[in-house]
Amino acid sequence: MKLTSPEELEQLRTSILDAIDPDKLSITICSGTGCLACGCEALVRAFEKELKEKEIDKKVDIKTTGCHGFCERGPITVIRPKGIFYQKVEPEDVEEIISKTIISNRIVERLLYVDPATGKQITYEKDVPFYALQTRLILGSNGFINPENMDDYFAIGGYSALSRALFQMKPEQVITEVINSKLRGRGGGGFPTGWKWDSCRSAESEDGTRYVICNADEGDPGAYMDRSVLEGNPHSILEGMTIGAYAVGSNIGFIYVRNEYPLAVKNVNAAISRARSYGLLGQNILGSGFDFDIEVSRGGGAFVCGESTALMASLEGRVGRPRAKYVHTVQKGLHDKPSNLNNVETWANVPLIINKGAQWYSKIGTEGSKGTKIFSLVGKINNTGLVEVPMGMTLREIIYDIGGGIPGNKEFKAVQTGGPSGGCIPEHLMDLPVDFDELTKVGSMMGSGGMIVMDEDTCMVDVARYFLSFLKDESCGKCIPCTEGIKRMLEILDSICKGQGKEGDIEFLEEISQSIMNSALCALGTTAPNPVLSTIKYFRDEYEAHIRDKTCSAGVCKDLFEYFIDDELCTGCGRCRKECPTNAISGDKKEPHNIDMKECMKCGACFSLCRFNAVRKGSVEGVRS
Amino acid sequence: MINLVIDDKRIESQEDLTILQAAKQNGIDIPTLCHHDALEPYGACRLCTVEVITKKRRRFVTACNYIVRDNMEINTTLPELTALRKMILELLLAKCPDIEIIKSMAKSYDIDKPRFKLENKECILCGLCVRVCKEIIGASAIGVVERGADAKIDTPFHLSSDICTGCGACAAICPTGMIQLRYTNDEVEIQPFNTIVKLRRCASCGSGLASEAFVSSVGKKLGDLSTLALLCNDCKKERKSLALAKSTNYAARTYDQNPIHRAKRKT
Repeated sequence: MKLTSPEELEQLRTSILDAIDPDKLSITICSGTGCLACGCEALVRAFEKELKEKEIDKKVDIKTTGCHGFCERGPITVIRPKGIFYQKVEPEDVEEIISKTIISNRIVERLLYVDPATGKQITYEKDVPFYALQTRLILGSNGFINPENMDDYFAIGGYSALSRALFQMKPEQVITEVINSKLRGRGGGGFPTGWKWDSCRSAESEDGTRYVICNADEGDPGAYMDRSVLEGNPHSILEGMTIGAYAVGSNIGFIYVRNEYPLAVKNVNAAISRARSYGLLGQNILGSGFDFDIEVSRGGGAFVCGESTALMASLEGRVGRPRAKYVHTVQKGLHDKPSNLNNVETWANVPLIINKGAQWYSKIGTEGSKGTKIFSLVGKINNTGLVEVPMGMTLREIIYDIGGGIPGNKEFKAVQTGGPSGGCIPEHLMDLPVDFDELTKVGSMMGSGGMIVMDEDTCMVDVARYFLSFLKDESCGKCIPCTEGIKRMLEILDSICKGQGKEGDIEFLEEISQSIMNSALCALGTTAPNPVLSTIKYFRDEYEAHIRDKTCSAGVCKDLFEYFIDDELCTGCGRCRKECPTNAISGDKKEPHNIDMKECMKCGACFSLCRFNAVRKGSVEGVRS
Repeated sequence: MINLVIDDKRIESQEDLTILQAAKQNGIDIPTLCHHDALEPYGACRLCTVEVITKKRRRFVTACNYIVRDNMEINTTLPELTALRKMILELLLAKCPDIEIIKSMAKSYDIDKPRFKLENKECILCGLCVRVCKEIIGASAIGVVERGADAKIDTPFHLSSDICTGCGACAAICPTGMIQLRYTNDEVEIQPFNTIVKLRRCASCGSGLASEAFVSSVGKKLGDLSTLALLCNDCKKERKSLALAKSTNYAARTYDQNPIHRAKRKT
């Protein structure tokens, strides 16, 4: 059914809302990629089977949705309308949920979330601290939408912003609204979105062609917010892009999404064809006379293709390598036409701004950074998942209050923000309000919103080495400082981690960094030294210990420590002896055991097996003497 | 015309020039490696990085692809710029320690021995060969394969290219001499691109002329495949001078009796 006027859209919405019984029970099962990996498909089948057997399948809905964000606790099931929150639900739990909660309105207590801080069970989703402390303007909708059912998006007000933009606003007004909202690009650069649109609209184009592009080439290790939005709420991106296209005067849009996101590719393609069938994409959208269509282009997985000029080269079918941006892509981008590229999350913000107004939007966040930001909170953290918070929330609040702190009562050491070319922020800066400018000030960056938490067992030299090796592999190979410079920095870090570091290495790393930052072609290169510089800045003593004392206090760099067995703690249980793959451990039953350092390959099996903490790490020199 | 200041020197420049062009016209030397006047700027070697100061801000840009604007102030010799050029050359020298052009450029910046482990590569990935093949020849027979430090120039899948005309432009433009054309009896081999094309011999004297495909593409361009395009340079000259002699009624015999020409013909 093609909608040919805003009134028809509203009629459709009314009829959808009228058909919804607010008291009808609905079992909402998260089917984002995280929960899929935890086996939610079997869970959905189990629910369907059980409802059928109990003959209540007509009375109870099952809704599979996109990512809810609390991935640590997946598969997640929410019973609506009450919002009862069950976590880590297995197919075996289904029978009990149906018989207790669905039929007799009781709670299955063992599936509830227990707040580790208070030890109390929490029944309702809205009371779980992980959710309660967030401002989920964008991700919040994920829990209510089956991405395969467009009615769900209509029901939460979908496409009303588009209708408003097309019929009540001129393109210039849309741009002004976005400028006034002070929305900044969520892909990492933080460029003011409205001004970008304005430049694209006013850029010269001989035949009038302009492109809008959605950058869904999310490649930062550990970051997956764009994937979750695209998978869970694809229409919000389509709506945002259509509004953007209307504002800049474009009729063709592209979504460049990595092929490693098969569910996102599938959902967004399906969403596009549904939007077309409703006349929300294609010619004469809602009868406004405005034409716009979107094509999905799948990326081959090169990290550098997230850089706008490399992405456009790849879209054109060329090798994805950046070019100088002295002529901006808003003037000459894809096929040398004015092209407006924004990140997934940026596009998702647009319908919100149009619906609720720039004034409302600009009240959220800090002076320089408005709105919310989704972070993917990963690493050594209790509540792994996607976290959406207003700009300006402190790292401490995000990591401890929402993230639930560090597992195993370990000490916090650092948090890495901004993806591989971000920086590591130490404990004493935990009260830093997180926004674009503050993160840059301390030598890190917002990036696309990765947040990797590290505990005391993390070696900061090794962390720098890890990110540099990622960047070395992902450097495109065009400019010499990035290609060769990163490679050489990695060589130096490798030697430091192997205990072959020399005096002067730190200064040499700084010298190379400075030259790379001053001369590399694209942002991948100019920011590549960040992980090294920020770890040197905040954890210089670790570098020095590696170089001078040949020790790795975290016990990560294998060449810099030995395992040994503490005689006093060893009970001689023999567990380590049996498991040692190289038979390096010897000892009589009930007598303290011993590790032969010559045979030990430092796999760490004994270390993680020992129940008495008798296997320990020590500096090579210390253990040998 | 617009006004610029380069290294404290006031100069006038045309619009639409790159910083590199404007500097060159005024006798200011900026080092480059991946730049060639006949090709589109590439901006890969970064040696031509200079500082640009406009009203808004100061920043480092590459001179080869940055267009000058009125009242722009440009510095080409700051200590940071020297430092980054030295670093780039040191990195290159470590990668290609035996390449003359790198050795001499490094030497001019007082680098004798790089502080990095030496490799033994020949290609500096300046991309000149790829660009000449695409922009001038129009073939695009070679491109960059792989990524990062593994990047190299090659034909697709390292297979003998069927669109390479064997013109040799890549070898001619290569600043390190990595690309070589080798003539065998009836073939031209282009290495390291694993490409072999058929050799055409001079229609008159039978010496190696050029690749078959290249000769016919030149012939097509000239619209004349029968005569001049099929001759080697010497025979071309001879044919032309004979025609000239004939038209001026100069005895052809005189030309043939020229001892220098006779000697050349024998070889």
